[in-house]
Amino acid sequence: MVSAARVFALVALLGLVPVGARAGGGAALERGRAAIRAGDAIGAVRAFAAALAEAPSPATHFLLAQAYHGAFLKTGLYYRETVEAYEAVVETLGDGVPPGSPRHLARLFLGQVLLRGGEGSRAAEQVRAFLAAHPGHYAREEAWNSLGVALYDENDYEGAVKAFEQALRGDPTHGPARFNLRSVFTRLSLFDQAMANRRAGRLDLTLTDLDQLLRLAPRFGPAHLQRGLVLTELGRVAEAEAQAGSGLDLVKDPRVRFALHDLRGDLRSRRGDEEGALEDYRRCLRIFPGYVQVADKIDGIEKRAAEAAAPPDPGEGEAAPSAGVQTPVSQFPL
Amino acid sequence: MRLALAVILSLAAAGVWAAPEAPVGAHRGLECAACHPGGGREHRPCRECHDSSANLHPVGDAPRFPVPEAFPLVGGLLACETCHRLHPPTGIHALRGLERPGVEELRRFCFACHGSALAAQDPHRAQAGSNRCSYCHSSVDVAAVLAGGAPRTREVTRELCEVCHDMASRDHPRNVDPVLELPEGLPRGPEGAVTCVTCHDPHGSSEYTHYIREEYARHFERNVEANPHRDERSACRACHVRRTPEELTREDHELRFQGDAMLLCISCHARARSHHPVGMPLPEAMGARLAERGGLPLDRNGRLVCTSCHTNSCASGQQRMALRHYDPRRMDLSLCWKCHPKEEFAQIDPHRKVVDDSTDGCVFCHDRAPVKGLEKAEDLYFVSQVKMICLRCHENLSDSDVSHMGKTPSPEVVERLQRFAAERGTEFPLDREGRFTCTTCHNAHFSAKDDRHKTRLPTREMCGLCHRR
Repeated sequence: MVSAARVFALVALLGLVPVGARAGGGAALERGRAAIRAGDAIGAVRAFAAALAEAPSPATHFLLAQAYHGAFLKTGLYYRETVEAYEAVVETLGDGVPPGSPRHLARLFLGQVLLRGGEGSRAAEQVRAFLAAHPGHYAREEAWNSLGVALYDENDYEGAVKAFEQALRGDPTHGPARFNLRSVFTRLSLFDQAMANRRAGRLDLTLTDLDQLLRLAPRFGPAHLQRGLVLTELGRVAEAEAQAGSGLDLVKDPRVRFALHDLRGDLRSRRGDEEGALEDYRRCLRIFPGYVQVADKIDGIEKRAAEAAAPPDPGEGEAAPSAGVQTPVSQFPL
Repeated sequence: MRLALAVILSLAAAGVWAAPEAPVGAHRGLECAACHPGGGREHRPCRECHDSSANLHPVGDAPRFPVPEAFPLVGGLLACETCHRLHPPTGIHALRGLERPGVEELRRFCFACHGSALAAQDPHRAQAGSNRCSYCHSSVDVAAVLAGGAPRTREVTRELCEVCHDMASRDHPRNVDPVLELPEGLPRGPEGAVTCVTCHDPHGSSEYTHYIREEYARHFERNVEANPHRDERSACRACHVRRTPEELTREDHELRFQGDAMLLCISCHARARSHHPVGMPLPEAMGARLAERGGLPLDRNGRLVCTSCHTNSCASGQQRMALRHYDPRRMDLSLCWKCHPKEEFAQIDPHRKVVDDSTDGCVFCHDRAPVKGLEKAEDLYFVSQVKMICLRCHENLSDSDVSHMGKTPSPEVVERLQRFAAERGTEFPLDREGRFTCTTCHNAHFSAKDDRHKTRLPTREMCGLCHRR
C-alpha cells in the first residue's frame, strides 16, 4: 500500500522539490520540503499550494498532489482534493514528459486513491492507462495488483484473476497478489461448486450456491446468467425473466449482457411478448452485430407479425424452410 | 362473562393489564426496579448505564425523515426507545421489529426511516465526504485530526459492522484460520478481543481485497511457507492444529481451517483454480458407485474435497503428495472410474460433434457453448483441467506421450513456439503453470478427418518445433 510515509519519501528521494524550485516559488517549495521531512502533511499541502499559486508548473502540481495524497492517507480527509490534483497532473502528461519522469506515476496514484474512494471502475481505467503507457515500469507489479483489486471490487473476478496472475508473472513472490488471488479463488470456488451441481442435475443445490454467491458478489455476471438459466430449466420462467432483468441492471460485461438479453428475449417470446423480445434481441445485435442466430430470431418474429397482418392466402401451401444460415462452428474463434 | 372479557381486553389494549414479558438479550435477568424505580412505565435514562459513545444513532434530535408509527418518539424527538425495546417481542440488539418479514437484516431495519438510499452511503468510501467519519468515530474534531490527533472510535465495532455486513449469513470468517496467531501490532477490541478491524482496515486498501490489513496479510503469507509435503518433523504443523507427530494419531488429527480440507489446500495453492469440482456431495449415482468401489474418502459432511483424490501419505510416515489409485507412469485413470462411468464417456465423441456444426459437444469440455465472435478460448471456462478432460477418454498413454506431459519448456522453446504461432496464425498453449499439456500440440476442434492425431501442425512439423535435428 502507498502509505503517507512512502508518498513523502518518494517526493524527497526523487528530488522533486528542487525540480519544482527551478520553476519558481522557491521559498514555498522549501517550506513544503521541510514540512514533508517533519511529517506535517497539512503544512506541505499549504506550502505547495502557495508555490503553485506563485508559479504554476506541472512539477509543482505533482508535488501538491503528492502532499494531498499524504494528507489523505494520514487523515482520511482531502479525498476530492487529492483526486483533482492528480487529475490536473494527468492532463499534463504527454509527449513532452521525459520517460523517466516520476509524474507518470500520477495515473497509478490516482487509480489507487480512486480505489480507496470506492470508485473501482474509474480506478481500473486509470491503472490500465498507466500499464498501457508503461508496460515495463518498475512499479508494474503493484499496478497489476491494484488493477486486480479494482476489478475484484467490481465483481469482475475473471479480470481480477488475470491481473493478479500478471503481477505474479513479474514477481512470483509478490505477497499481495498471492493473497488476493486466494481471495478470488475462494469466492470462485462457490461458482465452481454451483456449476458442478448444475452439471450433476442438482438444480436446487445450484440455486442455493448461486444465491449465496450473489449475496457476496451482487454484480458477478456469470452468477446472474446461470441463475436465470437454471430457473428457466426448472420452468420458473417468470423468476428467470426477473433474474435476467436484475442481472442487466447490475452487470457491465458485454458478453454476459449479450447472453442475458438473449435469455430474456427467449423468455419474453415464449410468453407472447414479441415486442419485448424484439427489444432484447436488438440489444444483443447492438453488442455483437454479427450474431446470426439472434438475427434469425428477429426475422422469425417479424415474419410471424407480417403473416398475422396479411390477409389469408387460400392457395398458400406449406411454408418453405428458413434460409437462415448458421455460423459454422469452424468459424468460432477458438 | 362477556362484560368481564371486554374489560380485560380493553385494559390489555390500554397497556395497563398485562405486565410485559421479562427483558431478553443483554438485559435478561434484570429486576423491574433496575430500570423502573417508581414501579410504573417511566424508566431511568439509558445513559445512566450506557456510555453515549456506544450509541450509533443521534438521540434528542427531531427526526429528519418520516418515522413510522411503530417507532415511538419522545416529545417529538428521537430517543433510545424509538428504536429499542427491551421486552419481547424484540430483535438482536433489542431492536424493534427485526422479526418482521423483510427486515431480517439490520440495514433493512434502518431503511424503515432512512429508505434504501442509505445503502449507497458507504462509510468506507472516501468519496462520501467527511460526514462518513461519524459513523465509526464518536468524536470527529477535524482540526484535531489535522493536527495529528486520532478521533475517538466507538467501542461497539462488531455492531457497527453488522449493520451492513450480515456476517452470520455470510458464514464469516469462512476462510480464516483461527489457529493462526495474530501479530502483536494489530488493533484489538476491549480486553484484547479480536474484532473486525483487527484484520480489516475500514479506511480501505488499494493493495488488498476485503480491506485486509497489510500486517495481517504479510503474517498470513509468512505462515504458508511451511511445506507439509516433505518428510520432516516441522511439516505437520502446516496442516494440523496439533503441531508435532507425537500429538497426532490416526483417530485424532484435526486439521486447521476448522477442518475444511479445501480451505487448507487453497491457503497455499493460491494459483490453481480447482481442476475438478469440489466442495459438494457426490451426485446420487456417483455416490452409489463410489460406495460400491470404495477407496476415496469424502469429508465429514460427505463432500468431495481435494483430499478425496490427493493424499499426503501421512500414514506411511513419509509425507509426499500422491494421487490415490493412480499410476503416473501410464496416466491410468482407475482413480476417476471410482465415481465416473467409463462406459458413458466412451460413447461420446466431442470432436465429432464439433465437426457436425453443433454446439452440443462444447459442453463436454467447456462450461457452456461460446458466444460466437465475442469469446475466445481463453475466456471460456473448462469443466476441469485440460489434461484431465482429455484423459477421460485418452487414458493409458504411450511412453512418449507421458514423457511430454507436465514438462516445462526451456525459454528458448517458449520463444520458438511463440514466434512460430505468430507466423502461422495459430497458438501452442501451455497450461496455467507454463507446462506442456495435451492442447499444446493437439487441437480438439480439428476435424477428425484432417489428421488422426489432431495436431496443430502436420505431425512432423509439429515435432520439429521443439526437436531440432
